[in-house]
Amino acid sequence: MKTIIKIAWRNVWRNKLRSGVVFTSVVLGIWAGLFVLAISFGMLEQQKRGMLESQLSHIQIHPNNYLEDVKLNHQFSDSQIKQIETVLSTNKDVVNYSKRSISEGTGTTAHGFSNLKIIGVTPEIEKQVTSIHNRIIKGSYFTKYKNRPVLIGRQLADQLHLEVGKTINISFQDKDRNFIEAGFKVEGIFGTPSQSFDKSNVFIKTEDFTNLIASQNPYIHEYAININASEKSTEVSNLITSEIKDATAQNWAVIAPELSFMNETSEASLMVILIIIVFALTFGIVNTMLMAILERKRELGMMLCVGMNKKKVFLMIVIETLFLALAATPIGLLISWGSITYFGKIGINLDSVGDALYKAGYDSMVFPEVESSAYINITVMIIIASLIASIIPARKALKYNPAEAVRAV
Amino acid sequence: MMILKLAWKNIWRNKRRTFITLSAIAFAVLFAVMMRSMQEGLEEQMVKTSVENSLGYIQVHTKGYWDDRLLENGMTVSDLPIQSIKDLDNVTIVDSKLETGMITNFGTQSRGTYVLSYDIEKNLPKQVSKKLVDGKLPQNGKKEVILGIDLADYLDAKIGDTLVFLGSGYQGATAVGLYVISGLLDFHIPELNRSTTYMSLSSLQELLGAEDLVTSLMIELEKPSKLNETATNIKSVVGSDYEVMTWEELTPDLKQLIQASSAKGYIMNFILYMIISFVMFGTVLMATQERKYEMGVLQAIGMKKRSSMLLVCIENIIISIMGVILGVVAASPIAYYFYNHPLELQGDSAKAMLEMGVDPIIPFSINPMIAVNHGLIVLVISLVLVIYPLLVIKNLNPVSAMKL
Repeated sequence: MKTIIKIAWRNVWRNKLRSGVVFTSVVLGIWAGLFVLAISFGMLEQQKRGMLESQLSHIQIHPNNYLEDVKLNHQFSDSQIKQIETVLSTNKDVVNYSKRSISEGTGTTAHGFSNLKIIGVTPEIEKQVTSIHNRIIKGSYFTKYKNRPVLIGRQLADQLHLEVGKTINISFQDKDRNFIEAGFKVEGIFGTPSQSFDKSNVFIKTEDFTNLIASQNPYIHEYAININASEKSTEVSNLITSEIKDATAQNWAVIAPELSFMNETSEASLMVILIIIVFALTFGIVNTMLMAILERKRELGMMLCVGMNKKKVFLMIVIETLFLALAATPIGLLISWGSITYFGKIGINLDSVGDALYKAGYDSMVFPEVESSAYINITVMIIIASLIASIIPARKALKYNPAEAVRAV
Repeated sequence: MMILKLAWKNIWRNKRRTFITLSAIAFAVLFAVMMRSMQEGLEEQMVKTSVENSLGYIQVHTKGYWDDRLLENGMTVSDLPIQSIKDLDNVTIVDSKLETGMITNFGTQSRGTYVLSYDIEKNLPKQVSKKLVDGKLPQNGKKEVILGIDLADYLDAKIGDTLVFLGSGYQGATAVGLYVISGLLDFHIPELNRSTTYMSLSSLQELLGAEDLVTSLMIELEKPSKLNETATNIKSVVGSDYEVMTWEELTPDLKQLIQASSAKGYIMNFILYMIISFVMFGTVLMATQERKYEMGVLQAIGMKKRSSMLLVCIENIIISIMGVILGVVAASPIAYYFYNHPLELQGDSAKAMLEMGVDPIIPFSINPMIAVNHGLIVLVISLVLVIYPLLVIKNLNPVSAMKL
């Protein structure tokens, strides 16, 4: 056994060209697999983060009856508000929170109409919780107009031909279910990573909301809460739910299940791509080694002639490949880690399709990133693939007739 | 001529070597075509879903309607050359359509909705009957509507309830009418489920006080790939008073979504091609090494370097072409199989795709251009790789090459 390992080791170094090809195949395979993963994963993560920052935040609290049936008069009661705010101010994981009034309504201009979710916010507080103020493309964030300003999304602006300073008629029902319609002046146009969010959500000031529904006190339907670590969102939301009455705190994964589903959807097509890459790689190694066996026919024949048995020849070829794969793995990992870290910092610019990416819910810069477990998975996958790849040519070598093989040129 | 013959014989002399090289090229084509087929299949599916759901591949409206969707910008059916459009090549269905925004009310709940016409006799648009999850389609002559399930939910209305529709009719008249819900639709697209109502064309025309009025013609195609060609033909039929728009112009969003998915696809393809090129290079490299002795002998017995370079070149071209053809031939049935039996997704990911309005399947495209394009790319790569054996032959020393 020791001798075989020794021979295999020497063989690796004897024909540097051939070794180089197999070595590079493995390096390339590991890098390709990881980089493809990193790009997909990076795009998804970015999209998720964008959605959390711009609209969802980590946890939201709604009244239970509002969750069952979205209606204006299913708001938090005064005692609930008091209770929730006590709970939030004593919980040390909570970083900040904002309260919102929400109503379903319709926005109309001369160019058409659209169903809207009208969100009443207190600008100074909302600013700390979500990043809409950083995503204003045109106009400003509740600083310019005194009289009924509204922030609308880029999609809605396109659809209804709205610009900053123009007026949109927003209609919804007040607390007594009367129909109300009021003109709002567009103060700013925002662009979040989500097209559908930009199409159907508008922000107005809480005081305007309260006035319009003919109420004295604000109607609060939603608390949006940021905590210090998004991993703790389930734990914290459960804790909050247990401490308040007739209301439920939900983390982002419950509120927007499509965010976690999205991972799986793209995972499916990603799997197909990874399989194709691994297949291509395996095939490359098989091919190179087959060619190598062809080229080494005489050498292998000689070994068989001087008394090496077939099992040992087989083992030798497999060990050779294994050596190469094992040596290539750290290099491949290093290159992958280096390129992913590098591009993760400076990003890959897809500006030429940037607008398209935005519309699809991505930012135009892609920052590849990958979970550390992927390094292990891909490596194991590639090493197994290359081992399987070495068996096929090794078997071929067994079929040589020593007497003929020595004479081969 | 002799070299050509020699090249041909060489190819068949060492069958195993030829086979290995051939298969490297064939598999390269196969992998590239598979990957691209899947990506394009997903894109085609996005178009199909969206186009079937609401748009049609091509629409005709009065000039200016698309920017200003007012009923006053509608068209009179009798003025339209519908039959001439139908007679055009590639056109399968011409559906006249009326749509407008209205408020619908049930009890104390009200909501804005898009009211669209539905052709009861021809059962068009087809997706309406396919998306019906409860109840039945409206009956001819009855004042019935079908609407998205989320809209009905919001209104707290169910089948058999009477809805009030209210809005502005043709030329400023007020339009008000009562309609009974006969069925519910589930488009699997939340936005459509929240906002869509269908009623028969005649009912809608009556409600709006606009007899004979439609807002658009929706045109379905036999071959979506000939989109622009057909649009040009339609343009010449309808004249300059009307605008002819393809789905790409109607929903730039969708076009962009597809571009975005292509952008990601290009990166993946680029990486795959890096591997493919390397695999092919490895094979060529080993094949060249193996033939050093043979080349040495040829040169020793007096063959000029240039001739043996030509020889290798010809051999490579023949093998490359055969490999590409083999790859295309092998890829076609596989792509065709997955076109007919798309990979089906299960569980949560399926749900996510439904949310995005796409069926939870990964179909493959059978666009022949994929095979042609990627076959050509692989051919070019393999021809570029011939440079390596040529360099080896150029620098070959016959004496040392013949030493084993």
